[in-house]
Amino acid sequence: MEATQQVKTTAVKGTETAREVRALVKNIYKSAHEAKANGRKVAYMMVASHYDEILRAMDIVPLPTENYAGLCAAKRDMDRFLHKAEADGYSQVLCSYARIGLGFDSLRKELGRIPDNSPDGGMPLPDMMIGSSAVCDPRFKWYQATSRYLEVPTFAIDVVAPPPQADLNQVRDHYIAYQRAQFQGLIDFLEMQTGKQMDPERLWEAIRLGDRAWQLWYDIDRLRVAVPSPMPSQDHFSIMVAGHYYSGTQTAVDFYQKLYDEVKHKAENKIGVTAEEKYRILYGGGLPPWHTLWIFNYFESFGAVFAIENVYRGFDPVQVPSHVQDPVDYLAWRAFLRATRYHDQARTRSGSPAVEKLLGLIADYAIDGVVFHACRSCRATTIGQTHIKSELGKHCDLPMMQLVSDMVDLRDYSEAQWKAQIGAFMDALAARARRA
Amino acid sequence: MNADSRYFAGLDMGSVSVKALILQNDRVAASGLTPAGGNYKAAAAKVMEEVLARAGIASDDLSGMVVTGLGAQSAPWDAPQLSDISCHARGCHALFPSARTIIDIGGQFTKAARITPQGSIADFLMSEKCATGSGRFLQVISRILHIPIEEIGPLSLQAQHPVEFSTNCAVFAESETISRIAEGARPADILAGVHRAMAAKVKMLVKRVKLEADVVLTGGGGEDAGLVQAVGQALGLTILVPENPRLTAAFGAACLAAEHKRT
Repeated sequence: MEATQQVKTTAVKGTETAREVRALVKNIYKSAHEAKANGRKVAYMMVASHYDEILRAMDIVPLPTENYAGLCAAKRDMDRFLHKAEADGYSQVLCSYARIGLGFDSLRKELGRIPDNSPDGGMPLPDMMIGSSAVCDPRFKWYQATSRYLEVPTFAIDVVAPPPQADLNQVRDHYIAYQRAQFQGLIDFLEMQTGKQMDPERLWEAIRLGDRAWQLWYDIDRLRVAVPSPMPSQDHFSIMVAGHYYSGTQTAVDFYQKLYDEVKHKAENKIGVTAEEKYRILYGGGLPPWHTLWIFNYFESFGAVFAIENVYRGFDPVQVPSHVQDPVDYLAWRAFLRATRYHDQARTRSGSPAVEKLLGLIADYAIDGVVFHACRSCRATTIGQTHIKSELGKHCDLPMMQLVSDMVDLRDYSEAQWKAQIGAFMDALAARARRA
Repeated sequence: MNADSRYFAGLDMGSVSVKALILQNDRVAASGLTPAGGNYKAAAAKVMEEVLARAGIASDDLSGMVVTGLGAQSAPWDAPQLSDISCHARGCHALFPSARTIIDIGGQFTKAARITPQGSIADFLMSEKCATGSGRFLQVISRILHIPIEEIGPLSLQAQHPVEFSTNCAVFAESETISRIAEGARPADILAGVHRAMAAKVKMLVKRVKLEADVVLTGGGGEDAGLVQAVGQALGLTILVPENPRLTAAFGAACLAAEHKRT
């Protein structure tokens, strides 16, 4: 393993279907280049903002800039973009996804062309940029900053969720009305940019495909309760591409159906990720270390498999009331229900929806230990992690470990430190097994 | 290896030094250490040869061995490898059965662990990629002040007005130390300030694993009386220190080798 670590960043996948994701990723950028050549509109966009189906229904080709940052890291070709952004004055404590995106756009402006040998051909110039407040603040501000390099229209949508303590019956109507207005604002913006009207039937069709794909994704994760684990977290970090970057398309539905069939077969036939599954690990939170995904195989060399994770499939399926007949109303309702899925449960126990979700995963997936990844430049997924870990410790007695680096900036990673920590974590898992 | 003998070895290949210890019937028969230098294999072979000679046995007389430390993968023997946190925990538990929290201040990292009454790890944390939280900080200051590292502890205890460092970064602290020297600050006061800065870092780490008495400070940092005092003051309790803190992980490794044999 040692000899390959310096050049290999990716992990060996557990499923065959996950190996098909690379083609899906390449197609994101290829489709965007083709769309530009054919006069179709391309939009920089932020995933997990509940508006994917609107873009699909409006024939706008999505170009997810965060994904491009992860791709650069997996290719270990991020430094030139990070350095460029930092040379332009963006601090190293700012989101490294954003720094890669800003650095790429800055370099392209300076060169007058896509930087040479950019991963997967680079990103074409977008026709518009659609930011979002969902998940974190850089996603709202990033494209405003990008306006320094690109003169294209920008829209930033607000995505809201009530706090866990809120009386949902009291705030529901207000939140849904506000969210609907935000979606309508985006539709108005897109209609202005494209000169076309939104077709409600096409939006319903995109929603149907989006919901079907996410339902299948949820069903796949439920199959993963099987022992031994039929699909590890490193596969999840690949297969999330369909759910987030192809949401609202038949491609995502077909992909997840195929993956579902494979995982079901593995679960039913007890085909596990490793020959001997000694420990089942929960990836408790934090963005994955895209620069060093082989670390999951390193855990497996000790018989530790990441059985499930708390990242990317951020929403469980929800049931929007049948009286909702308008597709934009539906999107607003769905966003509200997704965001408040664990609120009632949180009020009765820990007070934290995140802790409740983790406790549910620990019980359902027969978890032996929890690993968190603190990313220095990702405040959204890192702030609160120590608190969540501490709160979790009040309700379960499992070894837990927090690894620290960054999602894409390799300067925050130390292999020696990680291996030392992982060694101690394995000892703690073994000690717990002996006690049991 | 001799399956019937009662000799067990622990080898701790740390970033600064390689430590070896031989247990005979649960008592320390011999121990030693040597600088790691740039050649872990050679250092390990040298120190093992020395302690085996001191114990009056050959390597074939050993019944078991456990290797630990950052350089464990370079060990010239095919022996089980365990994390140094586990070895420190086991060593501290054997020396101080009441220990529930251990702090290992080593050359590269500082680690804090909460341990069970049986001596296994309940929770642990390592210092971040930052020299201020490790023995490396002391080495830097030792070089600037031209004071041998073993004299830092006793000298710092003579401090009257410990310097307040305005930074938590070892690199900036280096330049700050030079400024303070220029201002006429006494070395003892500078060293006490360094200890306070390190103790503050240690306190943050220990609080995150949930401090539980008794607390043992082990690793090279345990040999620095000034640092031990500063950590005790920061945590508000008395700190237990092994007689040879740098050898605790090697001792724990030898204990674990004996345990593995028994089970």
